[in-house]
Amino acid sequence: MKDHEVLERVSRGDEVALDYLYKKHYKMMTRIVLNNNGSEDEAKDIFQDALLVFWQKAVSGKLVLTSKISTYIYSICLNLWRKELDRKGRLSSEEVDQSIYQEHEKNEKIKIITECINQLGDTCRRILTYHYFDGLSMTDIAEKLNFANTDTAKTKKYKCKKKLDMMVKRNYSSQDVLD
Amino acid sequence: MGINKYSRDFEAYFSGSMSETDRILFEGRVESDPLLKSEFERQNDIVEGLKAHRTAELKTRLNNISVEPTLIGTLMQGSMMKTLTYGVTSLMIASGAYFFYNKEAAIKYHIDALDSKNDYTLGSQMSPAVYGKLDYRYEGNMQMLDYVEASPVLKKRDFKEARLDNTQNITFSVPEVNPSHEETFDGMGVDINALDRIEQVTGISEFDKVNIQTINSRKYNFHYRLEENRLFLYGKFSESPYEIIEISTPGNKKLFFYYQGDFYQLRKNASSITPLSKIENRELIDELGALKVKG
Repeated sequence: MKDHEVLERVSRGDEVALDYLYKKHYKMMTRIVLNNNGSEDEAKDIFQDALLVFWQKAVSGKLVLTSKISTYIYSICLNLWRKELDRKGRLSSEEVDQSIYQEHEKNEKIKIITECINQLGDTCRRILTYHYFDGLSMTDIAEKLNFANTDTAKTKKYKCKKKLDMMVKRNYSSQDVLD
Repeated sequence: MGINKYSRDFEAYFSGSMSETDRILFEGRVESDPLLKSEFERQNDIVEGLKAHRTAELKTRLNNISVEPTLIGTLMQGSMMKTLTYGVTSLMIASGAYFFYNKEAAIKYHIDALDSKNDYTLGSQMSPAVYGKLDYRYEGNMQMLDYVEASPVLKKRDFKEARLDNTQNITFSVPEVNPSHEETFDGMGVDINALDRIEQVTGISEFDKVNIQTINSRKYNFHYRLEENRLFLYGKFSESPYEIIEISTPGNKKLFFYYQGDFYQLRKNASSITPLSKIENRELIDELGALKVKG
């Protein structure tokens, strides 16, 4: 598959194209981390994060590619791994403790929200994640989820979001997370 | 109900459709209003949760794709392994460079290895068929030549049937004669008539067995080394038969090597690997040829 073809498919939110990129560039991208004091798991994680950055940019239509896709992803991998090394190097033991605490608090909130998202139902979940993470337009969401038109997608999205807000509000109150 | 009027702003802010100016203004308003800030944080958590959910979903999808772990990744998992790999590589490069630039050391190393192998094979009385398995560079082509005590009767030719190939070896015992051909080689010329006088020779001490070993070497392809009754032939000598001609006189022994129609002299003091030098002297060649035929 050629670059423009891959990009076109990714822009449409075709996850099979993402699989293709992952398989194709796995060895090259993970080598960046492995050759710079990283483990196989870290390398995999960095590559996946880089690929998702590419995915988000491409799907949301914010990507203007001036190089090969592999070069672009490679540079993201490099930046992400530099940031990670920097973060590791900067963290003193005190900062680690604080970071762990903050991480724990954040994880608790995410856990509550994830539970709410899982209770939403598949359609709502997909509309909201496509909209907030992938950055798909309402037209694309309507097409992807086989809605009658964009307005249907907009209405559904509004209702789903409201439903999620209510669920989270209720869960936050009951578990006193905000205090 | 005051918070609800910001729902459009929240939507625009978190979906990324808000302009930069409006964004800064909105953030300022959030900072100044605690109630609005509280709602903003909740909305932020929800959007972050949705993003995390989608990220996890896509990562799970990617993790299910079968990708072989890289070899380097497997090997480099631990820092100890990394250090060890670097150490071994450095050592290999250093020893390679040492032997490359110090040929004497390389030859000595090679000879020592051969000596050890030879001592082992001789000491263990191992079957010749097994010798070849001791070193991949060695090809089993070993023969023990029996040098008999000199007797009044000339032993014409001592055919040793090669057990591994068709190599033939001839041993001659001849009396000492005055050298009639002083050649560039330091060996002794032998008069063809000396063969008739062999009966007059008595009391030549028993010779040790000579151990002949051929070695396939990339570096040396037509060389030999002679050391303590051990003759090492470097090259592909197993391809066609060769003969060793020994001319023995009291207290002296000369060895000649016959291979593919040419004679070569084997110097006794050739303890290092020496190229086989062809005998060019016609008379000596004729004499050796006659000895060979008569023998």
